[in-house]
Amino acid sequence: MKSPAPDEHRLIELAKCDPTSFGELYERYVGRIYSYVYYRTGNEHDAEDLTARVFFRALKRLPSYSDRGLPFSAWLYRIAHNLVANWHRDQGRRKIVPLDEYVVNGIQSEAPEYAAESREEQEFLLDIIRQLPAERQQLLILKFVEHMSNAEIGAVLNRSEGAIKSLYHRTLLTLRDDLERRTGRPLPPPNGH
Amino acid sequence: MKETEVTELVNRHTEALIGGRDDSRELLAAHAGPQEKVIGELLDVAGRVKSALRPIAPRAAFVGELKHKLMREARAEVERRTGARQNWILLAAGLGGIVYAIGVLAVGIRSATWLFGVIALILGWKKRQPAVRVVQP
Repeated sequence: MKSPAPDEHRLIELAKCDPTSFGELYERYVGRIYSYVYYRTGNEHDAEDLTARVFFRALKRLPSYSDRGLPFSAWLYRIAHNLVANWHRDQGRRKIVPLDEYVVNGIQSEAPEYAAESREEQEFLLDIIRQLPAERQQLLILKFVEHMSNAEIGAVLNRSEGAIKSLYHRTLLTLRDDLERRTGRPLPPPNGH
Repeated sequence: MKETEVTELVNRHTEALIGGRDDSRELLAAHAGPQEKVIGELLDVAGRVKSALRPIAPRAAFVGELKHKLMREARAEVERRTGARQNWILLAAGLGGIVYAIGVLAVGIRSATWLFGVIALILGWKKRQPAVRVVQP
């Protein structure tokens, strides 16, 4: 388990005494938190709103932050997770459309050679991911978008590394079953990605 | 192959995948057997998820605007803290002043009591001395 790096630890202590030093921490994590919130909410507007709330809350609660051997990002992700959970409770539903917008826009801009068929396939998969329980969605986002290790994900989700590995395995099984059920055919053999 | 071994295998594969290396073929070749199909499907799903979930950057304008708002809030927080500290200093100074005044008053009362006592003692001593000397026959 990674504790905050010495440089980061110094920044945190500095920001505790002088909140105007919070800017550097913000710049370090705004992209990651936004990405996480975006995938959880599914639209840019709410992602921006919730990202802003995450950092305002972090700024307010920073004096009570204590280093318990977890990365600072785990603390931010927990704040984000709580706010997203409240948002889902308030919404009473899960948004669907904007994630597709992202996939279409993102792929067009990043890799124009992707065919429409591939985009549709990814949209289809995102749709299935969105049907998963919140914790499993969170696991996939932290793993594939944030590139966090199982230990770091465990710190955010308050679970052991072994439990995260097992949860990931079960999530893949669920996704495979959902894909097969919705396409009505077994998955084609892997051809490398 | 035990379930825990499959769990380890899919996790190792995903770590490599995230690191930019797809070792699906090697893993499948190494684990040929009754579970090859299931393992192959899971590795395929992991690859699909990786393709679908990519980091997304926020708008630069949003990042700049939010930082500006946060810094304004941070400055307000500094002022609040400074204001709160000043209030505590003023409160401490006020309490100190009251304690000092009470102390001075107490010392004054004690001094006055002592002074009146001395005066009374002097007057009492003088009273015991008759003003006119009694002449004995």
